[in-house]
Amino acid sequence: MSGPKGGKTETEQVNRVSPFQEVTGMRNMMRADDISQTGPIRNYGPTVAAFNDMQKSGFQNTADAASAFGLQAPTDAMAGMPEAQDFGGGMMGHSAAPIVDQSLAALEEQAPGQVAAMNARFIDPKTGAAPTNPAFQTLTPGIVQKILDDYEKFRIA
Amino acid sequence: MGRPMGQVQPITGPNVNTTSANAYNAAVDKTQQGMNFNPMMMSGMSPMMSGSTGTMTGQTNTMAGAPTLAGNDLSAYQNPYQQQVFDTSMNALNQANQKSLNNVGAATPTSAFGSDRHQLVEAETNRQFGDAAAAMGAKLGMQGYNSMQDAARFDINNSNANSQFDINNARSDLSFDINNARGDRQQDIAGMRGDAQFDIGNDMAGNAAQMGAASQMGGLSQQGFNYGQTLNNNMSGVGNQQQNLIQQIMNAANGQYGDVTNYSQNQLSLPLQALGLAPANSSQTATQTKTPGLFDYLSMGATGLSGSTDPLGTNSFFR
Repeated sequence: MSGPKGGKTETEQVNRVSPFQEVTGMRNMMRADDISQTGPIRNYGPTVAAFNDMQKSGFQNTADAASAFGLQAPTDAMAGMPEAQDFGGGMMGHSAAPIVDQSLAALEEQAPGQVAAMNARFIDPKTGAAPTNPAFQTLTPGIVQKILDDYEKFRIA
Repeated sequence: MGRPMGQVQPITGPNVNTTSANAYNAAVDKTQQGMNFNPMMMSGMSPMMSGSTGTMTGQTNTMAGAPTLAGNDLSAYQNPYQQQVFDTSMNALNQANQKSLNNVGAATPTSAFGSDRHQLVEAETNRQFGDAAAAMGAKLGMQGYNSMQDAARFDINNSNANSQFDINNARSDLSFDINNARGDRQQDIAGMRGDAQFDIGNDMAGNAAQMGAASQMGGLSQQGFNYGQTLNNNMSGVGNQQQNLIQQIMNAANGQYGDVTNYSQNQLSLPLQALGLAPANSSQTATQTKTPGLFDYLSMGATGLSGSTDPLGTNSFFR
């Protein structure tokens, strides 16, 4: 096998993104930037199903039986239990949202700086105002072009 | 809007729980009473027959002091008409004597002063009268005395007969009393024996009842303990279900809280996912040929000295 003098031929295989993927990736990246600014979305719906009447009757009967035989038992077997919410359609349940609200309020009271820094990255959940501290600078056409130019410098033909 | 769930109706009045509990408590009370059962004994309350049986001994005359003829006063037996009988007899005898004297005077002629023979005959007649009168008086006295003796003897015989009757009565009464006492005593003994047997039977029955009650008490105790354990386990089960529901709510709340607080960090993966580089990647493979020269070898040496394996940024974000 003959070749140029002073060296030998090396073969290297590299993975390269197709131009279509490159463009699509850039678009998705811009979309991801928008999505990330949306912020966490809360769940105010039911979380856990509530006890039904049969269960509550069973609880009460158990307490009454214990009381009848002289054991200590609460008069109201459901005393101390959170009141179930009616979510419609016969769905009686409990929502975790009030507890989450309390936890976040406690967090804001205990660590207001952290909460402020966290919320600054996202839009105002009520007004929809833009975040005061977005993760990325807003992509304008000039910026996109600059990125593409920089990208061309790193491309391997 | 769905169907609202009904409220649990409070239980009022007796129910199966209270009925069962009351029955159980009643059984325990009765069993405890049975354990303290003390049967009534007959011996302490049974009257004896001996004390209630009357005897005739005190009502029977005895032979002591029985009357005798010698020691008896016979004046009570004297004929109250004895003197009259004596007088009448003496009068009759005197009249007969007077008649005899008259006969003596008629048969014997006398002078104005009487004769000696006449006087002798009268004297003899009077003497005979005196002998007859004495004989009649003795005879009447003897008859009266004999009558008195006979009367007294009759009474004494009667008394003796009565005494014998009394003795016989007393003997019969004594025999009756003895028989009565013997019968009463036998009845008493039989009664005492029966009472003792009854008491023993009662005592044994009482012991058996107490043993049975004690055994039943043990069963009731175990039953009550099982009741308590079952009810306690049931209540614990209820409590576990209720606590589990609250725990589920808390777990969901913690999860949602974590979603909020970790949201920013989670967004770091969004750009990677947007570029399709992570976690999966569809790419094409290109082959390029290169003939390294002297500069390449020098560059390789410099790379080795610097420790960098990617000087051209081949692993950069855009590649």
